[in-house]
Amino acid sequence: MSLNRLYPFQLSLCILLLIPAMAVAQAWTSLSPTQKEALAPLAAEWDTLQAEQRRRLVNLAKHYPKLNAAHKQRMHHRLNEWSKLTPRQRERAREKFQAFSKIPSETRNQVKEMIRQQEAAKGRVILTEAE
Amino acid sequence: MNRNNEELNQQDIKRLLDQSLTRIERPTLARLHHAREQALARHSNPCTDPVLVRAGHAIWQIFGTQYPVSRLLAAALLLVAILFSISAYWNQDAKLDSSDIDIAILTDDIPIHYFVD
Repeated sequence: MSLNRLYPFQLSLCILLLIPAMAVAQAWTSLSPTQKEALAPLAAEWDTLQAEQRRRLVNLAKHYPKLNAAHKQRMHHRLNEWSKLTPRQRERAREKFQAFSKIPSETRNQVKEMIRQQEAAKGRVILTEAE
Repeated sequence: MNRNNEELNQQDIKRLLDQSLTRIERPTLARLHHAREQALARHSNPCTDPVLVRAGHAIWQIFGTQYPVSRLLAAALLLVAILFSISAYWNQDAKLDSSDIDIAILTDDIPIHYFVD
């Protein structure tokens, strides 16, 4: 079929039909090795996650190579818990985190110290940046 | 006699047809010529196009040739629909990209449950 037979109308229609295909959720097998490594704790349940959540997690995986070893470990440790939250809970957590980030660093450090003590009392240890 | 009449009639008909052909206006003649060429082209090149192309071609023929304004309008509407879809898709993607905050929560000193209701 020669190109001059491909009329603009048909081409436009094809593009329009292809747009929803771009929004289709990615399967685990289609992820890159780096993305798989970043999202490894979710491998088993990946295909059960909502399309929107998968897209968010794929975006999240972009940051993984830049993390240090301790942060990579922490992220892996928390990913399951994070993925089990409802979208509303995650949204609220983002809001709270952003609000917390805006308070003066001195107050923030005091709060962190209090949390560290609480966690220690429960037998859990929180590693700080310095550690 | 009958046969002569018949021949004369046939010749008359031919003559009349030839005369009427010369009286056809130039635009009508051009359209007939174009239609003939299209019919011949279709005949010599039978339906090798995909279904979508054939469907589009049929729509083009029906609306495009009869209503040139509709043809332009249809193309413009399609273009607007494409641009709108692409814009909506990218906006949605930008809205979903909260990864900067998410990675900060997942790697922060404070455990997640302190931020969860």
